[in-house]
Amino acid sequence: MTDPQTHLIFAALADPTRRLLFQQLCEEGSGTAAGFAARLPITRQAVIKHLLTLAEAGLVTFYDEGRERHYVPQPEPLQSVTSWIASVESLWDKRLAALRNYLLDEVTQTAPKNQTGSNTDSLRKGYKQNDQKH
Amino acid sequence: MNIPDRIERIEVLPVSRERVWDAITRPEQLSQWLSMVRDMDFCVGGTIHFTWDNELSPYPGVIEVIEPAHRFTFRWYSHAIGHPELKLAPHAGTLVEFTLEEVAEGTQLTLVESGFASLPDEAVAEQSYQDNQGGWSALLPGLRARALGQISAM
Repeated sequence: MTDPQTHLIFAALADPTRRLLFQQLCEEGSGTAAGFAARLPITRQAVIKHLLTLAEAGLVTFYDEGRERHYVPQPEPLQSVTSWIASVESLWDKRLAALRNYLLDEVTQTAPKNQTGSNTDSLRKGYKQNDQKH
Repeated sequence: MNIPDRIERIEVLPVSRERVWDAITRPEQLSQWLSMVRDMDFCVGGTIHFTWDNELSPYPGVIEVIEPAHRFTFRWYSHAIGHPELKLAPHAGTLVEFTLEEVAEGTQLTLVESGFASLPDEAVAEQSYQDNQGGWSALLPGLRARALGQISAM
């Protein structure tokens, strides 16, 4: 992961109940623990625990109005997740391009005797010198 | 609202399935394009050793599926490597699946990496929470302002 916050977000959204709570908060704009517990097959305490985990990840905030605590979604942190996923996709694009090049180099090589050097290179264990964690 | 859980890529390669299979399962070939691969014990349940920053990674991958010339799947912890302080391993694994299919133009290779949204670890979240206690104090002034705003709007 690129940073602890992104990991917290993944950990928070790993749980399907939390994903559902977050989704409903996004759809409705805000919610209360009692409101969720009335609609879902989980206790109010469990709802609060889940909402706190979402808050720790920065996905939810809350305010108190009299005796009621209202939870409000903050979807902006999901941006960091989307960017991170995009960076992993870009890594795979590079790797697959390298695979294609590797396969096509093999296909277009026509002089077997010149290959001795390159075969030794490809059998050498491990990693390229300019390794960038591809 | 979309919570991403997987990455998928499809490539059509103008070579045979067997050729692609070799390139993704023989370590000396795999390391030509997936450069952190060092060696592997090629059997279901076998380990794949990786090199990160020129050192052997403490988190080997595990092979889950081998269907010759068709499917190769392993679990790895590449995303845990950069942040040992997060104590993600062995939980922060993602699954990498390669599927090969013969097509008119050669071989269709489908790559899926999945499991990003399912990194399970309440303990890690707890650890990070402890480390991020300061975050709560930062939240409170904003919350106060909002609460006062809400009340005066009633």
